[in-house]
Amino acid sequence: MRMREMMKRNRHSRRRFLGVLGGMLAGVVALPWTVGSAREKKMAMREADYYRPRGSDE
Amino acid sequence: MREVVCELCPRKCVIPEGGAGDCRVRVNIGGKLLASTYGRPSAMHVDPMEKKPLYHFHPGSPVFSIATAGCNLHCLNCQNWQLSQSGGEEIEKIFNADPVDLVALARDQGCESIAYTYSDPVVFYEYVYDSSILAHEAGMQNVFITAGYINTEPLRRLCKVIDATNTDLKAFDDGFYRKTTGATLQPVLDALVTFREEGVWLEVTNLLIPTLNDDLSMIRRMAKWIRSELGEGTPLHFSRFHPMYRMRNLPPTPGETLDRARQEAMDAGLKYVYIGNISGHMGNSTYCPVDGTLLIKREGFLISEYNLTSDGRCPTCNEPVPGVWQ
Repeated sequence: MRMREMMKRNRHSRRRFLGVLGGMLAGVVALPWTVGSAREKKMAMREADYYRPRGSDE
Repeated sequence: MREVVCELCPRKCVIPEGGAGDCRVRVNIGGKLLASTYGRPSAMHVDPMEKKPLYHFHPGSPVFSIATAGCNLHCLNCQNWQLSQSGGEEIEKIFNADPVDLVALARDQGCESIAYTYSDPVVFYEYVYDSSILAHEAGMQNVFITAGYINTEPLRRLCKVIDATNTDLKAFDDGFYRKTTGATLQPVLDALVTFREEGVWLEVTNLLIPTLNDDLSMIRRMAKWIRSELGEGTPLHFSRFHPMYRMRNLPPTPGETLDRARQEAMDAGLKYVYIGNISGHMGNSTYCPVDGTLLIKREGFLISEYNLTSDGRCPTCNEPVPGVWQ
């Protein structure tokens, strides 16, 4: 009985440990996308060279 | 409502705030017109120069070829329609490559030139312009593959930073242009003359579509115009049509039609007339217009024989062959 209880406790610990580890790995894997999309926002669109406001020479 | 008028191409789109031009990629945000695909190509490949097609410009060299989404034409037979008929937000694959990155990528791939191609680089004009300046600073060449539907002022400015172009002359008929591409003929003719005046190396492509633009009398008039306005040494490529996009009801161009068109153009006085999209055809190769010597033998996009002298002349009669030879 004691052994079974102990194993149960170990199973829960193992699961918790694996859950935390999995979460950390997911965070590391997602990091390039997070940084990448932040970089994308920084790449502003270039203003066009040939245009005018409507009505400016009408 | 802060509308803007785009002045890059003859469409002169009036674009409301939040909207885009006909090309889908020049957008009005807060009363400013922005090039939404600047630094965001959706296609990047290394191609042989012959694929552009450019036969008299650095033959046999690899060229780093890019395009973004969008186009200011809507050709029913477009072979790049997934790219050209999409806006920037509709494309799944977008790379990040500002002009500095672009030049570095081209150099890393062993290319000494960059081609702005596939869709139409008119619609990513600023990206082409800025990248071309940096490419020149790095000792590279710039190649502009286009349908030529652009206003003269921006084109003249662009010609200062590009080195070669293949421009489509889709038909010598304004009605064809309106029905099949949504554009008009005269601005394309003006663009061809501008390239010539500005000293950009120029080759012309005509895609022959059965029943639509394969009339021999039109081909003759087109060839005579090219000879008189652009010069008899301007290479002309007749390309074979294949059913594509919204033009799947027509058959591929017969070989005889291409042969007759080539002969018609040569009879009109053009010296270098080629057949494209048919591998193994003698029209893929370059011959001396004086004595018929085989100068450059091509099999598809590959050069199997190169007989020009180091200064671009026929080895037997010394006739100079126009081009930019390595």
